[in-house]
Amino acid sequence: MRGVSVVVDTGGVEAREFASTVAAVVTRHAPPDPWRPGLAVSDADGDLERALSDAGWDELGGDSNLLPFVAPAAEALGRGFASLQPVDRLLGGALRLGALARYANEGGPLVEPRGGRLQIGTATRLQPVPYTDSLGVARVDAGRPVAVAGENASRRMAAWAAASTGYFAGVAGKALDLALEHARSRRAFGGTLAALEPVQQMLADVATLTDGLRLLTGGGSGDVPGLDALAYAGEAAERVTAICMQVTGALGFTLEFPLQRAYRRSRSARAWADAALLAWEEPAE
Amino acid sequence: MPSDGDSRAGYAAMGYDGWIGLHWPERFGGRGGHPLATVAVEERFGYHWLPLSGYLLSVKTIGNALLRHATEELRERLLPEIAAGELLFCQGFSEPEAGSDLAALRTTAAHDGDRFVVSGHKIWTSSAAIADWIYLAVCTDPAAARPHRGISVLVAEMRSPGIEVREIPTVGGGLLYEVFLTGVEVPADQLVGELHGGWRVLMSTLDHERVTSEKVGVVLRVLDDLAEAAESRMARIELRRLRGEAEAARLLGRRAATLLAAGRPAAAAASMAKLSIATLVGRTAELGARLIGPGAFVERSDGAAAAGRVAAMTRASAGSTVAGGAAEIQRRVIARRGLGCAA
Repeated sequence: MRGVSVVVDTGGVEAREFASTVAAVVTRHAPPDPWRPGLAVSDADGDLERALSDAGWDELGGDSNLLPFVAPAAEALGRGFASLQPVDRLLGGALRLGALARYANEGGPLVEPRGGRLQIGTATRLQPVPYTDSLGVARVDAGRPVAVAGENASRRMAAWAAASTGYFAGVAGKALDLALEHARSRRAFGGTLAALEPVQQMLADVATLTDGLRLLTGGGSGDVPGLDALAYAGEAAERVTAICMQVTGALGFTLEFPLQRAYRRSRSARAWADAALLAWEEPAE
Repeated sequence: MPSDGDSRAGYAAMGYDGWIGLHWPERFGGRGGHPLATVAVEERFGYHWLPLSGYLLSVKTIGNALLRHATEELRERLLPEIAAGELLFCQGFSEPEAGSDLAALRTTAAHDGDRFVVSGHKIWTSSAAIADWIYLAVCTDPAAARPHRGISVLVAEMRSPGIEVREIPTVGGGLLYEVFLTGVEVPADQLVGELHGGWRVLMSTLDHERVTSEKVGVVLRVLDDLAEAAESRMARIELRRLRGEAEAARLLGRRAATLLAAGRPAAAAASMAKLSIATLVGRTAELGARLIGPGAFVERSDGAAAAGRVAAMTRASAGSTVAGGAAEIQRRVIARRGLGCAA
């Protein structure tokens, strides 16, 4: 059972079918996790990118009518700990914030939200840096940017925010699954961890946060999570993974158990999301 | 805060204007609308900080429970008057030694022919001083093998001989009451649900009580108030964060309300709704204090920041994780009923 299985069917069959397709793609292209402390690692996966393109992912950012499809599909990415690169592609290129960019390629487009616009530049020099997560983070220089404003910028930012929110929901949902599975199987004090009241209290908080995030994705109902939802989603996913770490104990702290990926991803992605929101809020020049 | 405030006149006005029981059948004074329309209206009531204690008990909690569990005769007798804003209920659940552990209640109702004789002591009872009726959890079978199997639910008129009320002021600004019941005679046809089968009715009633959509509106109003004080970009992001959290709480509440209206199991969903909004109320009050500073605690008066609503919310937030079932109880319900964690 994923969380509390009482989600009300609010329609959106096509959006759910697309999300299922994305989930299948992620399962076929399960990303490895070569990350170790001190390494500069990117989990970008060309095969995954092509498979998502074939499924129709690239159309999501260009058509406002497809916005309700974005968050449920991105939730599938998050559940599979897939690369965030497809999310950033909805912006039109690699996400740049100040001196750093993630998933950037030399000569490729860099997109920086600023003051309600998107500044589009070209990466001229990349210097990968060791990072806490496999986001392919590099220090970058960029050519003179071109500003994209108006409806085009707002639509891209809306798609990216919806996708990021969905991604956080997926990461949180996967973390809950891992913690629940552990709590139900690990025995202590003559029973399972899941039978212990303090553990139940923690799992209940996680389930409440996770169900809230899943409902925010809209599930194809037509409701699309916006910038407010994104601002909340990162923090909520952080809270979820922190509590799940407590439930799993030392096991969760090890690199061989996948919860650490949710823990790192929720924190790194939240830092980028908050910074992007702050930059978007800057007064227009 | 609205959930602490009482106004008989305000309640009557809601009924007169047709805002009570929007989703109830027309034969009971309702308008046959969608349950989510009621949820949306309750959120707007909260946004305008209307005094809602009597409404929340009489309509959202007890009215909906009567609609589901009472006999046709009792529904015909009580619901139209509630919908008209003319009949107010209070709820007699908690006792000095039975709060979260409701099965431990000691108020007894002895079945005597065509009546019950009720004796006991209820506490933390909102709106008791202005209520016309009380919705009572009582023990009808003290010898039951398990305590919750001996519980029944009755409704009684507050003017019945043998009922006394004592006032308990709270930090939230509202009043709670103790209700003393001494040999109170209640006609047997005022039983709600089955004799000794009240536990199921109580749990269902609590599910309704825990969908606190009005508090989503209460929070959104304060977040609007705080927009002026959010001068930095980081402060505006913090406001966005709480707006996002409020949206999640709203959706959890709508989900629970939809399940309840469909007669589907809703305990875990209702507890999630309750837990999420109770947490959010506290977080909103904290952010208000951070953004406004010492002025946040100037109470409602000329020139008070946010019209004194941050001060009121700060005081009331201490109770928002207690009223309707403590947060630990909500978590227990979620874990056991929702996640399937064994006891």
